Amino acid sequence: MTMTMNSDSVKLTKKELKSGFFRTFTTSHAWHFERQQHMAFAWSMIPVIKKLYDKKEDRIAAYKRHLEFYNTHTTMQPLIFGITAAMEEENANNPEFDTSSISAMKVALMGPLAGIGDSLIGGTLRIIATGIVAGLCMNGSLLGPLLFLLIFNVPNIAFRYFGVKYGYQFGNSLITKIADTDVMHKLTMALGIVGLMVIGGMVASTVSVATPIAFDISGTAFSLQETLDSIFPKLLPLGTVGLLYWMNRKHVNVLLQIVIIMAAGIVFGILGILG
Amino acid sequence: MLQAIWIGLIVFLGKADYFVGTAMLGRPLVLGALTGIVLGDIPAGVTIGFELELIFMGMQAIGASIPPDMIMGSVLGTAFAITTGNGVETAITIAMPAAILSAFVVNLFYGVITPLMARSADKYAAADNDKGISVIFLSNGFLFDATFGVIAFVAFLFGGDAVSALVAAIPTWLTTGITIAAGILPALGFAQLISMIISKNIAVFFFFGFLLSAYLGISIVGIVCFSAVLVGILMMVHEFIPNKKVCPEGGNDDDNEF
Repeated sequence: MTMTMNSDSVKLTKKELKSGFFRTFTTSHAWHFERQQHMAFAWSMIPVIKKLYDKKEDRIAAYKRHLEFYNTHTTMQPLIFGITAAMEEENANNPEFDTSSISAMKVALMGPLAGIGDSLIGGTLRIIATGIVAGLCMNGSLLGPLLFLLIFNVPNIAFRYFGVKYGYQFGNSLITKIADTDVMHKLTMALGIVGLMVIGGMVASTVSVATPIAFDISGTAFSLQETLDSIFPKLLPLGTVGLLYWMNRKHVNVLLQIVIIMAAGIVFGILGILG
Repeated sequence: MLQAIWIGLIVFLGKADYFVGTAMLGRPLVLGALTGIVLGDIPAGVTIGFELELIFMGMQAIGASIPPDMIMGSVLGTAFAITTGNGVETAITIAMPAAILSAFVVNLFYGVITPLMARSADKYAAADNDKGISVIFLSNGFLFDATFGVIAFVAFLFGGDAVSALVAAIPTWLTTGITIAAGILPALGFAQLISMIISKNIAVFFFFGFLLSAYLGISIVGIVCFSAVLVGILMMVHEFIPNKKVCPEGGNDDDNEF
């Protein structure tokens, strides 16, 4: 790795990356609806953050940054961890660095890698492993489950190991090339575009808000949801995100927002407005 | 009693799979075998576990959707099938209600308990307290795992009839309410993300991604490909237009950005 560095630059060592390899095993533990894998991500980043930042404010900013919403396929997580670690390293050494590009990078990668992970690991590797041991299992042999775990986990763990390694290298080489601020600005914009489009797509595909309201108009069944779908599909999820975005802008307490959502679910459920 | 403790531990292990690299310890195929070992009938445990695996085959948590809790379902289903001496049919009749009931508790954690506790992690972050963040993360995760271990322990002690009765006892307005809220909650996470990375000149791309999915049903991977091409096109436009002169046709939005 040829990098032009000042003498006082901080570099991550094998120790932090190794610790990241083990800590990313916990991705999805303590998962929840609001910010999903955020705590596992922040926990994985702790050794990196402590190594890179001497100043208290920098560490606080980094912890907060990695406690934001995050969700990907668990096997893909070490790869994103590696890239993120390399970006944090650059941020620690380059005062011009725009930290929003770190978040944008995470968002841009988490969606597609989740999709690849779901189909490649969850949909293919797991099914293949199950298929191979089917005969053994139907005969009641304990060898079946054992072999299943082996067939699944050798590639799973190998992928994690190389994920951290190549993720960090890739992140590093990418960042060396884009050292000048103009390119950095463009990259931030580009990642922002990809990230926002992914979020837009995920709003449409994963947020579910629908209404069961239906009535008869002179004998013809009329379903409000079907009518909405035929004019503007996913309008309700979009409106919900818009409303919550507005609340965030107005700095409405997140706790209060959660309570409002739960209450709205129960009340609108009873009234038959949502379902 | 001892068996009930083991059953609780197996469910705990299945739930803690997320802590050890999502190694598929939570699949019915594995849990059934473990239940068989504990209850002294390995062949039955393995075969019943595999039958349940086939039923739950298509179920994996994708994105934010929460399927019936196959961990609770398959452990209790296998356990009661073995203890009553019945076969796979019993396992399925018990596994399904148990899985649905347990998914309700899962939703309660995902939607209420864990998000509320996660607020403390933010406080520790603001105080530069990494130990605090670690404690919140670890305690939250293991509290979740352990809760289901305890539920399985109690359920095994009380028996299969009690499980079905309990499912029937929950008021529907509460379950529907929680289900609706569970659908809305991811919107909160997305709203926070948008606040974080949005700026006026790229806001339109959020809607572009949304429309691609809502109207055309393009997958997330597809949207990434489209957005990459779009970024390429914008770069090219920048290359061709504003660099030449002072942009004759009204130097619009992209001149400083690309």
